[in-house]
Amino acid sequence: MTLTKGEKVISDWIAANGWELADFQRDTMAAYLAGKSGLLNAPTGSGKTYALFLPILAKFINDNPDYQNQKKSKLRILWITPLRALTKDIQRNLINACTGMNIPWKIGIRTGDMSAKEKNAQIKEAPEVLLITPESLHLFFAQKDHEEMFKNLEAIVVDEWHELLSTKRGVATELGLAHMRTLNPDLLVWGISATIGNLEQALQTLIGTKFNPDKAVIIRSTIIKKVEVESILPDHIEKLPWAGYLGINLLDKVMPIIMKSKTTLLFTNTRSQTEIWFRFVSENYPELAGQVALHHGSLDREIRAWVEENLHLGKLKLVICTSSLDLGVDFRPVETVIQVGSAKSISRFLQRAGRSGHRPGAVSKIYFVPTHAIELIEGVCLRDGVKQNKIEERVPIIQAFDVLVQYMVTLAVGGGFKEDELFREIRLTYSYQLINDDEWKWLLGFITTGGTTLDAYDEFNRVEREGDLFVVKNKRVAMRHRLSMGTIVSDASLKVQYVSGKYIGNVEESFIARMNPGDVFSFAGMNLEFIRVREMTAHVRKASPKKKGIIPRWAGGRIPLSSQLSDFIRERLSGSGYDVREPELATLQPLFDLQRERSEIPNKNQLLIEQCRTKEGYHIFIYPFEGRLVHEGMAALIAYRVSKIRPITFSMAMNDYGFELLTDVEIALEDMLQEHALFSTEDLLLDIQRSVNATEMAKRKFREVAAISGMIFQGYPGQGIKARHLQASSSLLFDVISEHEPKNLLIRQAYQEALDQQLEERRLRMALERIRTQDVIIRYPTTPSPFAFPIMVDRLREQLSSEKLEDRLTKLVRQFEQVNGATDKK
Amino acid sequence: MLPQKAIYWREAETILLSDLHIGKISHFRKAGIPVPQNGSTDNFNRLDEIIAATNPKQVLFVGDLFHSDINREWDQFCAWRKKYPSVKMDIVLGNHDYLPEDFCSNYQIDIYPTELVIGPFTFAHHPREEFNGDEYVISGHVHPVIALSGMARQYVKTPCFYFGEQQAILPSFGYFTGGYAIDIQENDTVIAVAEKKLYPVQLRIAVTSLGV
Repeated sequence: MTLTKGEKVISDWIAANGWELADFQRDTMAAYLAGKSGLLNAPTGSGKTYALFLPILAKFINDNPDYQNQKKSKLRILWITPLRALTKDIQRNLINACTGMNIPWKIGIRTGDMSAKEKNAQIKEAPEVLLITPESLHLFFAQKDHEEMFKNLEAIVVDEWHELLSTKRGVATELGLAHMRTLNPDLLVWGISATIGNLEQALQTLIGTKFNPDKAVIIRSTIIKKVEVESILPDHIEKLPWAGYLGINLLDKVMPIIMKSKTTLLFTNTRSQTEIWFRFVSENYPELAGQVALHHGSLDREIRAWVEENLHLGKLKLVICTSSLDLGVDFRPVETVIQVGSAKSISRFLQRAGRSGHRPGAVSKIYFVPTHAIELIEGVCLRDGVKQNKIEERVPIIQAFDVLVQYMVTLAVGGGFKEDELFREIRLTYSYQLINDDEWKWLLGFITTGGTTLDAYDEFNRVEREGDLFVVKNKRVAMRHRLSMGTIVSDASLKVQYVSGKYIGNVEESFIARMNPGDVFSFAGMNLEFIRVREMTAHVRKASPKKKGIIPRWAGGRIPLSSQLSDFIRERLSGSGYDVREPELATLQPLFDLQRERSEIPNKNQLLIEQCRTKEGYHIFIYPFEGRLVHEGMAALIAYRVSKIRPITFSMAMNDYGFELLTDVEIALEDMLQEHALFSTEDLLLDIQRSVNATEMAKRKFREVAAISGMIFQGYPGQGIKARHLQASSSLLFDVISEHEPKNLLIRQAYQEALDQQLEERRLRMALERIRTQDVIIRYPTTPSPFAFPIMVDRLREQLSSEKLEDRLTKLVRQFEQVNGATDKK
Repeated sequence: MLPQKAIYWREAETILLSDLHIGKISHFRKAGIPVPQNGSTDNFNRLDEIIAATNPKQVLFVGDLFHSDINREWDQFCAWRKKYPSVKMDIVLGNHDYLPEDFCSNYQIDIYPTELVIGPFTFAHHPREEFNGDEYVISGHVHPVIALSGMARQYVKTPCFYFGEQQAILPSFGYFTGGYAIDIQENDTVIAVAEKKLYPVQLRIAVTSLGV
């Protein structure tokens, strides 16, 4: 086979460096030069960046034989990454290749915090490759004449597509791709993705629905990384608490592993957990001072960048982090990875494991530290999952009207859009292929008239119609829109900053609200004394490290156990009495014995239910082992169905293994189960929607929907007091809109999101169907069983009631008075 | 006490209410935030109900009658005002009230910038932290809400009237307004309002409401 000129230049350069192209790199080269789009499935650290960049250069050389001579530069390639932190590393790699082959390309980075001057310079003298996040791309669309900038675009590469795929940022990316394809129909689109269960779908979302399938390929790298999983075991199972989330009890078992390895990444599931681990490590291992750092999403970007840099340089022994380091630069010095607490899914666990062992052929070793006793079983299950390579899917989001509203207004700000053209364009995306005319008309109405019928008093002001063009003319509306763009909705949080002015990070308002001046809290691994709140900023100063500060809690979505991992748990429990070859199961034996003594361990054909009484009330525990979201939905469903039989109020709690219904009266569940199909899938949707929770969940989802669609305006610095007159809580908006405009698409979307994401309706249905085939066994322990305990102590609870509000209030007032003192009336 | 979230002071034949935030919905809409417009009529319906039920001589707004700059929802209020020419109306200004200069004459409402003393009561928009002698302050501003919790970890959050030793706080009357859970001291009385009914709650010990 003869090589094209471009391939020749590339292979010379490869050879000069003493490298060799891997098969998948060769395949990508061939496909790209054949003019195909596609998806490249390759793990981090395997050379995936070059796999795509080298073909791009080869094509450029083929098209421009005089390639080494500088011409007027133009933007040819957009390289979309989910994280800004990734761009520097990619830029370094791309520049390296260009310099190596004397190709006079500029590699630019577009970020939100560039000055207007830098941005203009970038437009005037465009780099050939621009690294960009989906948000920054949309900011381009909010500029007039953005078409000019993109008219010479040849290809778009979407890096780490699996990360974006099942998020609204992924939807924003899809919209961006569709828009670029309208500007240039011959555009090549390539995604790079780690292994996921639905690669075909991932490709489809990239290329859209009307793409010629012969013009797109999936290329899989055959490099399989070896991963070893080992659990950190306590000497005795009693050393582990029955409930908890810290895992700090095993610190002395974890530290020797850290000491032995050059650099360790220790992943926890929450931000406050990193702060706590950091404190324990610093207190108990002072000799490590200066070599331990922490990294999480609420820390200032500068602090995080410092940690990343030093990690890269191998100057840190241990970094305690959250998913904030799931992605990112190749940290070559990392030898060991430790996961504290449930990893929730096999793919996430593998991704974290992959952060170590970057040398080709090296084995990635990952340790699992359980935070409570029963969780230890997940160690075996993760090993099962890794061995059988059961990787979860990442399901793309469809019909996210909030993102579409934002996009429509963005285009209206950036010079305007035409109704027909845009409708055609968005229907080519995977996400909006099913949108119908009515929905589209509603959306247009929503941004022009505010969705409700005009009346004499109306002064709604957002997008205006000018001929066949939809535009934003009001400068303030345009400015507010630019400032609030993006699909990442942060929690209501306060900035934390030193009195001297240096910014440290963010904490939640509710946490600061409980603090008095002089109180000390731990943040960013330091002890800080709270001084005052001014505007939206908490001022602090350094406090003595000896003081024990309170640790802030950040609210974050709790990820449920994946269904793949749940399967393994049910499977392993089923055999828990017998298989002591696995060290985790052997260690768990005494606990299993106790569970059997007080109650039962269900095999996979059984559903275990426990009923018991404590001074809190009457508890019902049910254990489907299906992940907390399905349990949340199932709890609401069962509670609702019971409440249809008799007026009752439940408070509900759940974890990944089961859920609890707590009431103030006794329920004869056994009889009820015989007479009523409590676990039936019949009327499932209806029953879910009728249960109070659907509304509550939708309300919570609506926070994000309202922010993305521009209904909540967070304000911005320097706006003064009047900006606050535009603030309303999303729950208030939800109530008002639900009352007056029940057909509002964004309210409907919030319900749909609650159903899909919060209740995992599809999975719930499958779980109920499975339960139908299982035998129900009911036990009546006198003391809560080891399974029940971690659920029982959960304080974050939901409620469902079929009692009249009037009755409930009267009852609550009575109980509240009893507890809080007053007996006689004044 | 009226379940429409106002107080009828019988001796003075006066209705006391706070935090209507008229114009809030329009203010949002004007800024391109699509809150349903028809929510604003709810306020006037309830005002009509109260006046029909009590036939007062006077209505006293304890601040935040309006939400921000003037907009057309104010015309609605103006029309409503004209329906009751014989009722005297007064306002103690709140932090949201940006009133035009011709406000008094146009709307026939007397303005008191910070407070108004009638008999034993001082009416002010902001609740006080310190008191002059044995005055009793009636205020609004905080949109008080009480979080009631009971057995089996149940709870309900609902707007309320608050009566302390030296001051009372009115719930927010307006339709499109939120609420903040309040702290309760010993021997305070709180009257919860839900679905147009009143629920008195009396306590002997202090309770710090956690915003649930």
